[in-house]
Amino acid sequence: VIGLAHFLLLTGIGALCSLDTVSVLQAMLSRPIVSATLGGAALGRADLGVIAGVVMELFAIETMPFGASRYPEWGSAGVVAGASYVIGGADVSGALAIATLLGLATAWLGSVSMVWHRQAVARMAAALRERIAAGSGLAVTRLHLMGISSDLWRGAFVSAVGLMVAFVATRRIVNAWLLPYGPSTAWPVALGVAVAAASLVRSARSVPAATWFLLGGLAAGALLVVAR
Amino acid sequence: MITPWLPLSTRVRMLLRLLTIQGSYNYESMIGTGMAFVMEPALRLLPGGRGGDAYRDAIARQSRYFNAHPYFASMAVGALVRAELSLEPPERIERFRTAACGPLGSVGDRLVWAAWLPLCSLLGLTAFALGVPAWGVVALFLGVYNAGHLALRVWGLDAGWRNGLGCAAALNTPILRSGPAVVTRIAAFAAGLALPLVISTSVGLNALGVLVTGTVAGFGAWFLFLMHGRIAGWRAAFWLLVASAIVAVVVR
Repeated sequence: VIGLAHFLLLTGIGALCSLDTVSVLQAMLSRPIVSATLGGAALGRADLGVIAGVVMELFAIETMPFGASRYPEWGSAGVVAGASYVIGGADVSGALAIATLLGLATAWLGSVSMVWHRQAVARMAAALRERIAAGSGLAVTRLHLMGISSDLWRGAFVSAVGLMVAFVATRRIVNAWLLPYGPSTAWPVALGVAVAAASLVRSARSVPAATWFLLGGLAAGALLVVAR
Repeated sequence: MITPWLPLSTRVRMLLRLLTIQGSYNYESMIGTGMAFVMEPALRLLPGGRGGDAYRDAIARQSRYFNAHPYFASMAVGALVRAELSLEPPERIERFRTAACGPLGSVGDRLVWAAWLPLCSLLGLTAFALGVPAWGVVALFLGVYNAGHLALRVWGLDAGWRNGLGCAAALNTPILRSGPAVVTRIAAFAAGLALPLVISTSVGLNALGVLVTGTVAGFGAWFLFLMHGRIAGWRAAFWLLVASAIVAVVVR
């Protein structure tokens, strides 16, 4: 039974993973391969969480956190995707597609919320501008801690919204899902591989001979698949 | 100019604060106030101590606009702390701050975001596809990535402190010059290896199923490749998943 305690635990994990995206550490706890596994583990199924995390990671390869650019926020998104996949159930048609969909929706909300957050920090900085310009170390520390704490709350908010939708909608949608298991599961994976491959091919073409390395890896990967 | 001294405890405090350098990131000063926050423990060593004129001038100067890759910003922190404690002229410090943003941003973006992070992601994906348990995948990804990440932060702070405002030479090391290309080649091989295996493992398909799914993905990749700059792949995927959910649920 998944209840309020799970919701609060997942929201806390989502907030911390979200904080890792920019404000604290940037140790990549926010990458979906980690955050979705944590989301699944919070519901007792790290083995399912990592599957959702791998699919989400394929999308995340396309978007790197370059400076002031807008990019999806994968920390809370991964937690939502991992939790949603556990709620939907392994080997259940549509579960991986719904988990991926909710994860991407949360990533989008996270992206928008990061812009709001940065604008809010700029407003806080404006309020402290005179003291900072006068060289107050306390004002600098205060602004910094306010930025970190507001980012934590932002992550908690995004995670909570995503999780509420996941808790309410996942089972309902999965129960109404009519398409067979194979294509329903292969579809989000195919989309993720398409997004990752496009990005990786672009990257490989920017470096001499890297395309040959890509093709060599592809041949090795294909051989391993056939040999299984 | 004086030769400065930085106690180990201050270095450790700066290193820990470096892990939050983007805590007050915003679109106006970017990581400017973060830089001042990280340097603050060292600036207390200025003549007059905390609250003295030199301290206040340095805090005001260092909290202005600054932007760089968060890991490579450690090099600027080391260099600027040395310059402040050496009582370098403010104009020299300002010039360095302005000049350092570009190189420290582009080197970090090319090495870390465009090469090291994708490589570590692909290592994690490959490990998953080869049957490594969930926590093993996470440990491998975080372990390999953060070995590079933390090494860069520590090296950057040290190189900046040792070389002061002349630290640009440290960016000219062979690892930083040719590293991104080498890592990108390894990542390209890992990508080719990982993608078919991930399809096979995550969906539980045989070789024919992988071929069919891979072909669909290949066409999608080709389309996204052609549409580069005009469409974000993850957003396109989101809308396609919405459409498929509607087909699967609503259209009976």
